[in-house]
Amino acid sequence: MSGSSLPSALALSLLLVSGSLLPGPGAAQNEPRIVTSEEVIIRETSALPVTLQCNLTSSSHTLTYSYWTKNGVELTATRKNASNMEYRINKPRAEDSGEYHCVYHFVSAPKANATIEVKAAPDITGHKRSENKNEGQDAMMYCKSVGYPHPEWIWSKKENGMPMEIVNTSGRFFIINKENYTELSIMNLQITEDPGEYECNATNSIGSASVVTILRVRSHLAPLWPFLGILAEIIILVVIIVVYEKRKRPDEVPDDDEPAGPMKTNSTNNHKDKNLRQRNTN
Amino acid sequence: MARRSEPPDGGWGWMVVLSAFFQSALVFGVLRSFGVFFVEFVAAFEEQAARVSWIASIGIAVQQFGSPVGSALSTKFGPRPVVMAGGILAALGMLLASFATSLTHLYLSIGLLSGSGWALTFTPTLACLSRYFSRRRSLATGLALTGVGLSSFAFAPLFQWLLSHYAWRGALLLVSALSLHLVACGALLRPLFLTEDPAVGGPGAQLASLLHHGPFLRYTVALTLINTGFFIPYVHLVAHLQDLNWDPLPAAFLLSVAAISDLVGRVASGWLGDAVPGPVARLLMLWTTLTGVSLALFPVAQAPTALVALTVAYGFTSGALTPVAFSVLPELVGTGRIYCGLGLLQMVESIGGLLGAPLSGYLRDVTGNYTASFVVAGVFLLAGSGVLITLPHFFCFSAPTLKPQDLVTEALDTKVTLPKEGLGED
Repeated sequence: MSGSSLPSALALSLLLVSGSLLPGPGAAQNEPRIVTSEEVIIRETSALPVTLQCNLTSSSHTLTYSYWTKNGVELTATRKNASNMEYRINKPRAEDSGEYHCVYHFVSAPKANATIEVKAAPDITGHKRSENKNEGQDAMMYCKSVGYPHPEWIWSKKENGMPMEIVNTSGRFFIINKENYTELSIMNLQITEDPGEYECNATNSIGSASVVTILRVRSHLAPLWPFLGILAEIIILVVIIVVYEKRKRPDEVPDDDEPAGPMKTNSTNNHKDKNLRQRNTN
Repeated sequence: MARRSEPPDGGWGWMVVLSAFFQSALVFGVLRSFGVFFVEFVAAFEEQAARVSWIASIGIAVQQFGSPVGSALSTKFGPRPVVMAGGILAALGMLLASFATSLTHLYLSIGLLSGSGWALTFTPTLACLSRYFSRRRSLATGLALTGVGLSSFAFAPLFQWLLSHYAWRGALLLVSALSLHLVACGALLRPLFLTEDPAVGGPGAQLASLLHHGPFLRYTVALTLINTGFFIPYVHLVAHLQDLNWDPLPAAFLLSVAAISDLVGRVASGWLGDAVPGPVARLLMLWTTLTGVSLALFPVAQAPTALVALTVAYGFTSGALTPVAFSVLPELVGTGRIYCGLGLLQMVESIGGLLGAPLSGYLRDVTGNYTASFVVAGVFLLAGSGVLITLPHFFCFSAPTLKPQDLVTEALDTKVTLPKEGLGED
């Protein structure tokens, strides 16, 4: 009778012991846990330094190295072998905003990372002040921004001082929006409706910004009027000069040199004429 | 109409000075400021900068090599119709250029057509000016040539403004209208009849007699040598300053200083040339020697103050030699042959100008800095001033000015047939 219960008790204890050795739901305790600092919002007004922190609190694997990335690109000179990672931004500006990751690499284990978002209102860093094109050509206006999260772009045109969003009724407007860049193209410029002030507006959860580009359309006929005006002025000048000269010396021949022969005859004539006239006509 | 035995030295001559002033502005000012258009042409025709800069080179070459044609025509017809025709050609070239569809189009319209127009304007006008003045010739020439410097200041921003408001086609149209003012300037060139004119015959005879004229040939050689060295600093000064690690803004400022001292030098030398008695060639030799010396000293100067002083000296002396260079010619060949003489002279000396800049660039490439090219430029200038010593009456201190009888004798010596009738009325 006692012989049959001993093997089953042994099996049960073996089962319990091995059960505690097998990895179970509690295995999550062995995955690395990273504690991060809070998300940061960079404001224009406060220029205090910002420090991002990551602390690898629990890991059963050996750490080889760790570094920071911003928007997926590794930041130079941040690679270290430490579980406590710090990244300091001394004078935070809108360009410093983005998605930061602290990345940990281990021996024979997959890497782990944590995310810290550094947010800022958009600031428009590049645009054309003015665009001058001829009638019928194509115009291209763009805006570049910094800031995170990536903004929503809106193009509008100022009518009577009020920005009105652009409606593509004529089918000539094309807008391309990328993360920190937007482009407005206008095909086949019309001189009556297209010139004016165009505004690009960038808005994200923190704030918004906008700048204005002035579009000027040159008419083909524009230089014609000054040209005709100058032409008329020159003709008047030449007429005045020639008439003034003819009035002063009516007997002067303006062109070729005269051969000396006939001149002798002329002088005799003048002499005769002088005798006839009482006054000098000069 | 009585023939004068002496140039009027004033009166209508001052209107001729005014005309020459505007003409030098409209010809050389436009040429010098044309660089503003190059950026537009490169973008519009999608060509390289080197190919686009041929436009100006062709224009300058046609203007210089065409000067004898302008001179010959104005000997025959008088300066007024020739200059007015030249103005129409120059404006027409710009007008056609505004419709251009390719770079070749521009080579032909601006380079060839406008260049020919310019060839017909500048040389005849300067020669006409020399005929109107004798005692105040250098001053008149100096004043007229200030037009070049002032217009370079004014036209570059003006062209930039025209380009941004009217695009390059519209801007060329308006530059064409601007160039048409040459016609109005030509109308001011009232012909002058001097006593020595019939003695020297038509253009063909004049050219032949000039080519046998010893002093004229020596003077041509001197000016060619001077021209070879003359333009080098204009082209290479900024690059040399960059080699010495100057910033672009002070370097540009230094160029402006040089331009201002050039202007002052022209007027001062013009006045001096008339005030000092005796052949003007001596003053020319003084200025060219000083220019050569200041050029040769450029590589030695390293400190900013020394460079500024040298630049002022170079600007003043190089500006000073230009009006005097034009005044020597009438003393050598007489006012009757001045048109042909000036045209021939311009054509030959331009060879020096064409060779000078590439030679300097070659020396820079071979030696690595600008020392050699500045020294060589100075040497050319000194050589040219050396040749000037061989001109007649150089060492005489009471040299008589050429009388019409001397010219007739010279012409007879060279066996050219002349009309039998004499020198006209007294």
